[in-house]
Amino acid sequence: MSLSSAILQVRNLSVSFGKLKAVDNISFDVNRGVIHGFIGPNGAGKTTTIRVISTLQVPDSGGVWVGGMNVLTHPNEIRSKLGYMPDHVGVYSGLSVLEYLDFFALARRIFGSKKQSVISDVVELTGLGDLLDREVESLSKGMRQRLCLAQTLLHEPDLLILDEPASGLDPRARIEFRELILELRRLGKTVFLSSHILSELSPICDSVSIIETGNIVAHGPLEEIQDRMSKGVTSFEVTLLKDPNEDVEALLSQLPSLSLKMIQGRKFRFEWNGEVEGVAKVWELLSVNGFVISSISKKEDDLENIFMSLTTGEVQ
Amino acid sequence: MKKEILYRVLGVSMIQKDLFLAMKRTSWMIIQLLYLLVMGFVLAVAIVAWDSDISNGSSLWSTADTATVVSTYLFCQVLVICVIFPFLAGSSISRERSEKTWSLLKTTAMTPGELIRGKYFALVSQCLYVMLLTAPLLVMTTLLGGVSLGAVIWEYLLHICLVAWICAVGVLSSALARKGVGAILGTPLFFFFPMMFVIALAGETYLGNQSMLLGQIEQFFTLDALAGFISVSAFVLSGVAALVGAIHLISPVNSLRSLPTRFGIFALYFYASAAFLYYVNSNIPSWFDYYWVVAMFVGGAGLPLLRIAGGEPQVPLSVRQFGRDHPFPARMLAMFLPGGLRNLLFCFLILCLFIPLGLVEIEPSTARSANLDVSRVEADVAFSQGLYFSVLFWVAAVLSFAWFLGQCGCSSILSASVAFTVHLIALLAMTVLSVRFDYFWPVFSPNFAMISTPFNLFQILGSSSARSFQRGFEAYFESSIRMDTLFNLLQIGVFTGLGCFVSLRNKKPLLSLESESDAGLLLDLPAEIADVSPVTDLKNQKPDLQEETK
Repeated sequence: MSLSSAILQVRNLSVSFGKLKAVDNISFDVNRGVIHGFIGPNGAGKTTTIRVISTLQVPDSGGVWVGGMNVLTHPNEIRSKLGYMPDHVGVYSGLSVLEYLDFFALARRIFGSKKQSVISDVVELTGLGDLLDREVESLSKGMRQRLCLAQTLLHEPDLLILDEPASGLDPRARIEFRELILELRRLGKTVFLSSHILSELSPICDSVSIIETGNIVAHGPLEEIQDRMSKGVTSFEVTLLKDPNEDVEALLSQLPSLSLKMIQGRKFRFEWNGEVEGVAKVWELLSVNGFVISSISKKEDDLENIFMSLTTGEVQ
Repeated sequence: MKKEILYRVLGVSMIQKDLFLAMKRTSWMIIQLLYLLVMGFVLAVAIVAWDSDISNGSSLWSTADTATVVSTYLFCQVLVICVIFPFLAGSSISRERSEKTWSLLKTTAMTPGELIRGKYFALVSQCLYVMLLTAPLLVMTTLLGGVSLGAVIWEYLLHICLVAWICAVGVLSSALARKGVGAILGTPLFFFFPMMFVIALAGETYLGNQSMLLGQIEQFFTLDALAGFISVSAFVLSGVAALVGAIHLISPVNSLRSLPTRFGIFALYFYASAAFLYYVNSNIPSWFDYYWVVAMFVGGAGLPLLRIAGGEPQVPLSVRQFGRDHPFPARMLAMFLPGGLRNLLFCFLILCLFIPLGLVEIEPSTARSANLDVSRVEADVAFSQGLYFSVLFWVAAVLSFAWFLGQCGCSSILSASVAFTVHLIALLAMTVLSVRFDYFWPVFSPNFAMISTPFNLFQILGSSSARSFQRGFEAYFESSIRMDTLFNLLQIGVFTGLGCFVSLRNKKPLLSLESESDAGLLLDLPAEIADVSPVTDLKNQKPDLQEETK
């Protein structure tokens, strides 16, 4: 067993389908107890990587370790620690919610009274309590996603692999699902989720991996990536109390570290190339010249901007 | 704990789920309805027969009527089994795939074996349920006399065996199909010929002879026990192999996927060899014809193995796989895994199956007329027998050549093609030289004679009918040293040695002292995966964002 804080370790992973290299020598770690976003355009290799992690696909080379165990040598042990939710949730038409959960509990070797208590726990967590007798087929897409998540939680896995869990959900279901994922993190689970909807991921993810054409183009905590992306340049937005009568642009041009990006009424935006503390000079310069600053805020790149900067849109 | 073992061995959770879902499906209702229609039809036939008997003034119910009813019913049952059950079985796994539930199942604690066993027993249970729906009525019919209840029960058991086989092959067909359409198209492909045979046999037996299939089989066993044994064991083995194949098809481990295929190839050659030995030997009286036929059979049957021999090296053979810590079946099956030296050894193992064909003792006195020199004929037989083994060694030499090319990095098809073409060109060259220069007989130039055994065979066999070849035949016959066999042995040694050298040079050793997996034989990892350590420092592998964004 590995003593590393990483629950998931991917090393030099490559998977090909004929001549197509779906995943090309990628490596990354995911730490315990975090929500890790796995982002990439269609055909980038997200689902292939997820399938290898979930013991469903054999790689050409490289390896994946979950909790220190290789997915190829210990697939059964890994399945007991891992909950997998595929991008297309399959349901058995004809089974009720309770029967569905009962079957998956038996399939995960949970018997007797333990089975009952585990089912009631996951039902409570996922909010399926009122739907136990409903046929799975009649559930809405959001509820099916919840049901599938419930079945992945039955064996109390440490790591949850969710492939596009929010796709096709309406806004309410999306928000509810997001809350559910945050609740899982509070319970100490590690969540590895892929998604196209970046605005959904940025508020909940602790770290991300961005993949394109089978290669990881960025990996790490979101703040770290943002810092690296900024390359020492920080954006600020300033709002003045009154419309400036004088030429602010000429005034600010005195500061060599400042690059003015936009002026619109009382607002203007600039980039500061240097230590963030140096921005005080802007405040000072404006105050000396009679400008009253109403607010000044630091602007950070959001996940969408990072994604757009790092990816080229190339498909395999 | 006991419950868990039961669930693990039989796949009980899968059986429960499949049976529960099947009961709710419309198709299930249709199958039951069809079965009841069959029974209704049979009873209607019985009633018609009953009426006609009354009009003829005969007794109310004759024993002959019962036999007719039972035979008709059993035929209809075979018909339903052969027409409906393959489709029921053929959709078992593909349905899971099309409903997108398959990947969920594969990430549960159920092993591939448990999944397949569960699917299989669920299918057999469904089929048995349908068959047993009408069984009480049949038992009532037999109580009227004319048919032994025991015979009917045995016949039912035979039908159950057929159902068990259909379900096994159906599960394999379903595991093979990636999509539902593939399963629908594949099922008739798998079942068409065997099912047509069964229906024809059942029709002939039940309707034509008014007898039982089991009786026919017993009769077949009495007439020819060995043929009966071969047929029954082939039936049982194909069912077991189908289930094993299905398990390995759904297993994500690469090397295992080749296991059932290799096992199937071995079984195919084994049965072909056994059948050849049994039937050809008894049906070809002349020693001359016998060795000609078996030599051609070995030459023809051995060549498809070129592709296996020339396969990619892949995984080295682990010496530890033969250690006592591995169970005996696992040690035996190690030879059936692909890669490295095993490719060649597997081909040689199959060639060994042909050895008995050359050891058959032919009676020279029955082959030739009495006034012929017996010692001469015996010498002819010995020579032909030697020639047969020359062909065997020639096939082994070509296989070694293909294996060597495979170790050099050629693909399996390329290796097979090149190895075969080189020998074909040698054969053609020898033919051209022999025709062009009359004195250029292989016998006088052993170095040429050795190159192409098939050429020698053609030439020598041809010499008995074509007088112009007589000289060559005589001379070759009289030579005491079989140079071609020696040459072929030399080729085997040289190409095997070269192959070993190349593989070592390419850092792909043929043998490894490392165990291929902690879990034993059944996980056969590519070397590069096993070598990678999970504690590699990632810092050096992080992409340079500034570089990448440019």
